[in-house]
Amino acid sequence: MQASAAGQREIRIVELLRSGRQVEAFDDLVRLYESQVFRLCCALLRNRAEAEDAAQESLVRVWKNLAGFDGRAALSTWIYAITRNRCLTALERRRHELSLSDENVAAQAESQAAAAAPGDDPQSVLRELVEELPEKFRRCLLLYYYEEQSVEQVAAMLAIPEGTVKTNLHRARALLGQRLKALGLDDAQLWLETGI
Amino acid sequence: MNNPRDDGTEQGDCTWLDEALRRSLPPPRLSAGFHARFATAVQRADAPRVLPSRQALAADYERQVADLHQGYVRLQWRTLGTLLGVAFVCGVGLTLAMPWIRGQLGDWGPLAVAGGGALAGVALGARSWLRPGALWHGSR
Repeated sequence: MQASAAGQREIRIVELLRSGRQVEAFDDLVRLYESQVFRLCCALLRNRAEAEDAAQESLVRVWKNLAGFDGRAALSTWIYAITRNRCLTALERRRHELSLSDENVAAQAESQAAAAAPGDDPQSVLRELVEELPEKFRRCLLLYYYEEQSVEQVAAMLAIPEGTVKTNLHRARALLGQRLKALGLDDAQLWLETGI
Repeated sequence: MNNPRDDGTEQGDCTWLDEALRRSLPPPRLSAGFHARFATAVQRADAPRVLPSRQALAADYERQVADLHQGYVRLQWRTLGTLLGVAFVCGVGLTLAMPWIRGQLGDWGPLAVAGGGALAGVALGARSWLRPGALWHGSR
């Protein structure tokens, strides 16, 4: 039902664009997509502040190029492609900056992020384990839960087949299960009955 | 028998992990200041489109002001020239009419005419200074 409502709104936006009502179309577009764009940026960039900047830049780029949108691709596909490109640019910039900085600083940050003491809050431990997953698994997993467990939506945002999303989710869960078991946190009761 | 779920897992396999992940990974939300910053960024993005037309408008305005100024100066010179011309013509006219004036008004005639002209000129000048435009458009 949600997907069809979003689909209807997208159709309306395209109709507004065709009738030259660009400002109105953009307002609707922002309302419909700003959260998804931001969540995609969060999943790709791992940093909330950078994700907001990237989301802003992506939507501004959408605005600048809106007049040239020809409707050959779906509006959402086009918006997500712009967003991914902005995020890739940000990641490249970050890699370049890190390569110029003190290597020890980067190593320290990594080791701090990786540490997961058994005594820590289980949810925090789980979040840290998610952050340690291989990148392609982590992105799929994060977006899957951000987007209310829609494989179709994740596939659209990352521009990968739904089968690949399912495979990545399966492998991500398997890895997490192994690591939680190693930490003694694989008790279903711990997670379900205590409301963690 | 486990049935495959839409997301590639087996039902009953990792329900607890699924639920744990759902609770641990809430969707992030945009910060309170995002929309204000975004609106500013969109305005800045629009500036290159708006700037050329603003520049054209400003140039057009400057041109119009220069035209008006030139017209004003031209009007001032024409008015001054007209007044001077009329004054000299009046002077020539009075000079030619002087014998008749003397005949009518006696020796005081030229002085009376000159005094009357001076008074009229002072009155007109004073009125133009005190109520600009009233000379042409009447009092309001």
